[in-house]
This record gives sequence, C-alpha cells and structure tokens, in this order.
Amino acid sequence: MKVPARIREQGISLNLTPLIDIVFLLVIFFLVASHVARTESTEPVDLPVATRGENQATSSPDRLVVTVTADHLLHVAGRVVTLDAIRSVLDATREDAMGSFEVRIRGDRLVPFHVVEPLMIACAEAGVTRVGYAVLPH
Amino acid sequence: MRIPSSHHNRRRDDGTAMTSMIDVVFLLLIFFVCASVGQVHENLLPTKLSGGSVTAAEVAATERPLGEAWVRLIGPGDGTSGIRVEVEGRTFAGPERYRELAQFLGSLAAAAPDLPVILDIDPEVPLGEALAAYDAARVADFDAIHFAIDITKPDRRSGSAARR
Repeated sequence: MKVPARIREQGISLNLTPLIDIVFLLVIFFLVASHVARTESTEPVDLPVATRGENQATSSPDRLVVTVTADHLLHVAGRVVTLDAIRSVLDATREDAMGSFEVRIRGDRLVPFHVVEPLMIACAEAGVTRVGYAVLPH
Repeated sequence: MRIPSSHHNRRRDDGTAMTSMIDVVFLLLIFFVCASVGQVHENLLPTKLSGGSVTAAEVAATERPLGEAWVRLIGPGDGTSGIRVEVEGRTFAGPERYRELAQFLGSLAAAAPDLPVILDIDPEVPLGEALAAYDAARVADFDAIHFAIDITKPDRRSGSAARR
C-alpha cells in the first residue's frame, strides 16, 4: 500500500485572495459611504412638521440637497453657497438628467419664506420640476 | 498507520473561511447600527413646479380667476402666533388654524377635486407655516397645489405656478 508522503516543504498555505477581496470591498464601501455622507451633509435644522410627508426611499437618487439654516444661509454639501452657485449647478445638471433630477430643500421652520422663494424660482427657471421639502412626521 | 485524509482538511479550510466572513459581516452590522444611532428620520413633502415659464402673463391681485382657490398666509414673520390664513373670504387664526383650513379645503375638494389651490404666502411668513398650509391642502386631497410668487421684486423673477 502506498502511503501519501507529507509535503513538509509547503508548510501552512494561506489563501489571501478572499481576504484581499473583502478588504478591497470594504475600502470601496467606505469611500462611497464617505462620499455620500459629504454630499448630503446635514446641518442641524429644526425641520417643519407635516402629516403627508412621504418616505425618502421613494425619492430620486439624483438630487441636490440644499439646507437653509435659521441664519438664512444656504448650504450644499456642508458648504455655504450663494444662490447664483446653486443656479449654476442647476443649469449644469439640466442637460444631463432633467427628468429625474430633484432638489430637496431642508429648511428651518422659522426661516422666512422670502429666503426659500428664490430657491424655488431658480429651480423653476432651470426647468427642475421635482422639488421636495424635508419634513418631520407629525 | 494513520493516513491523512484530504477530505477532512478541506472541511477544516471551509470552516476557517466562514469565520472570517462572519467577522466581517458582524463588523458591518456594528457599523450600520452605530451609524444609524442618532439619525432622525425625515420625510419628504414633494411639490411639482411648472418650470421654465418665466414670462407668463400676470394675474392682477384684485381679479382672482374663477375656478381657483387662493389661500393667503398673512403674518408678521417674527413668530407664529399672529399668522392668519385667508381663503375664499374666510379667515382662520389661532392654534388650530391649519386643522380648520384642512377641513374647509376638504369640503372644497369634495365639491371640486380638480380645483387648483394656490398658496399666496407673505414673504415674512416662516417656512414651517407655509408648509403647514401646503400640507393642509394635501390632506384635503387636492391634486394641483401651487405657490404664488411676487415677480415685482428683483430676486423673484419668475414663478413656479402662479403670480400675484
């Protein structure tokens, strides 16, 4: 009877391929997650309350989130921007994906309407018809 | 003499791979749990703008066209106590104004569900009040709810749906 000989030279073989796969997967995941977190940076605002708010999962993933804080400043991706900057963003986006593009306004409930009104006008001028307001459920 | 079995070795290798995967899955689970702690769930109140029509004809303030329900929000803007809601000759004030407005608009919607509702909001009215009126119109099941804008001011060059 032939006994299979041990191959002592090889020692313990460690298959690194799954480990590398998972590490790369995690790296890509954290990169994407941090990018999304930066894009939709949420400044603390006291949101209005509404009973007919819809779940955000049904909204478009192709969107611009504008936060209007209580000091009447416009924030996009964590930075203070002007209305003209938002207009240029909307104009640039118009050609790409006009139909599905959405502007989401996260406005403080105490912000006067004249602060938000030019934003809506800019959306209408740029042809963006899908505008949503972030609200808290009643 | 014991002969090493390749079958047993393969089974042990599979168990080792599963352990790593379970570690990573638990790591991701803990990450998501930690990331979701403190997050406030936000809903979305959608509105449909009629974009592009910058040079549409104005509607005079004294000549409200028939077949439209104009909801006017009048207030000082430095608080929410003095804000009034006027619609079709009726005035709603007080803490229950939006509930009363929803009931009144509901009676209108029952008679004419296709009636467009136009929200005419004073510039100093807080956004929370404007969205409460918008929400009341949605509660009344109106299909077409628009915002009126003032094109006479330099920063308000165009309108979303209607003009004062």
